[in-house]
Amino acid sequence: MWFFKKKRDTEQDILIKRIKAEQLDMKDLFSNINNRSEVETLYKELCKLSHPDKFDKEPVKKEIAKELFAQIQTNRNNYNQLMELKGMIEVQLLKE
Amino acid sequence: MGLLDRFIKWFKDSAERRRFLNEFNSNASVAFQSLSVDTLLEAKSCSGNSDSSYRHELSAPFMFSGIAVEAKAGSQIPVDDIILIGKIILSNQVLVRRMFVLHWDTLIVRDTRTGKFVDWRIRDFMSFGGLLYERR
Repeated sequence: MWFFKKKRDTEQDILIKRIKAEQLDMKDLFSNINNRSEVETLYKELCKLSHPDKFDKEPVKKEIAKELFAQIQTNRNNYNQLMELKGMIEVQLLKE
Repeated sequence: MGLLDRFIKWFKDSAERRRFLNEFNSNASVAFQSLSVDTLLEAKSCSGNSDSSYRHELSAPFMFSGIAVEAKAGSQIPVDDIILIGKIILSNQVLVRRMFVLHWDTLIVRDTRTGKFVDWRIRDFMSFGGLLYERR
């Protein structure tokens, strides 16, 4: 009967279900909160190291630097991600 | 979505909201006990900001639309640090999306000992980003 019929999920309901199913990493969050005093310093250091203008004479490295620089901006307050990016900068940009 | 529908959805999600707060609080307490953070944080549901610009399509009724993260014990937090903690929480997209769909519209970070607090509109930090692109 019509009143027992289950409502079909809308686009919004499907999106909400997907968001609720996402894995939350609370440990990462608290480690970021704990390292909050170092985040700003690390961010500035990485910006200096990976600024694309530094690599004007090396086009390949400049492309990599652009990508890494963009990632640094999006992970500005994420200490763990910034540390990972630091490793990538050292390997991909700073080695001879 | 009608008002009644919104209220029913909010009510249905109350168990999930409680589960989210419990998970946050147990992780905060473990981090504090293991000395990996210097301040004990506790999340709880509270009234949100009364300004209508804070509200979004999934907002809970005003009295329950805020999520407060309070510093309960440990070292006091200066305002700059309160802002930084808020930014760190809001830079975690999975967390922001979850708070959004669990009907919160205001994030408040408060130090209960000094009474200082800062609040943010959750919807400003919301981006469905990859989720929408993935579905196409």
